[in-house]
Amino acid sequence: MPASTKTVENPDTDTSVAELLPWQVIVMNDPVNLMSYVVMVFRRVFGFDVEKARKHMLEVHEQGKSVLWSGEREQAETYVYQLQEWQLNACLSRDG
Amino acid sequence: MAEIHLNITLNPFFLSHMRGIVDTVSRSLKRRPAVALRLGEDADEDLREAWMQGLLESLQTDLDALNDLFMELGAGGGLLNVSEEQAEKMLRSASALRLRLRESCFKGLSEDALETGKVDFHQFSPEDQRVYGVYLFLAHLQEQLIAELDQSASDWQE
Repeated sequence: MPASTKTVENPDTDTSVAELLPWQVIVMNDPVNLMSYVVMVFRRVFGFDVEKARKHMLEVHEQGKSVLWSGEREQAETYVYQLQEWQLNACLSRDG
Repeated sequence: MAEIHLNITLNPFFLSHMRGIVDTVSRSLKRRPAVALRLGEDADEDLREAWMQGLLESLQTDLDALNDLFMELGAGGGLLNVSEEQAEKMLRSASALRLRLRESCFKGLSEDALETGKVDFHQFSPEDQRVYGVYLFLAHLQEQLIAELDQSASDWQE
């Protein structure tokens, strides 16, 4: 515990910080799509090489989800739309 | 664009059943996508609607490609040539069909059973056995398409 704490009146945390956070493109696991299919989709949508695509696929498979990309909202939406067109369980989320 | 070669042989009886099952599931995919729409929390209703309509329309184009394949299969299959673009559409539509089949017919199966394929086939009714056969055939088709697409990509690089 710190030796002393200072109380801040009207702390200056705000929504503007949240607005600056990048958007994440997340893919979640599903028991239907084949591993080889998921690797192929990651390569086609993001232009990943085989190793990187496979690493993300294994993350999805073993940890339930993987963050594929983060950045501006418009591009993140485009990626999520493309992934959903490929029938993957993809979503947008705010980083942080 | 490279051509993909497929070699598919099917029992005519199974093929006829599969067409019926795929038709039924395709109709349900005209109304609701196979994947959940997950946009940002603040996405407005207009964006959601446009997003869903876009997904439904592109899925219909994909399903048309798979239906064309079934038409070409004729009575029992054989060697078929499809473009890379058609192959991608078939891959996507096969995934959508499998997702909807899982949702409507195999909800009771655990994720582990579906992922490993360790399923007691005899626990199914005869109708569900046919549906599961279609589910497996679509996965087999996807594996064949992915292998051919990979091969075609490496030929291109050489």
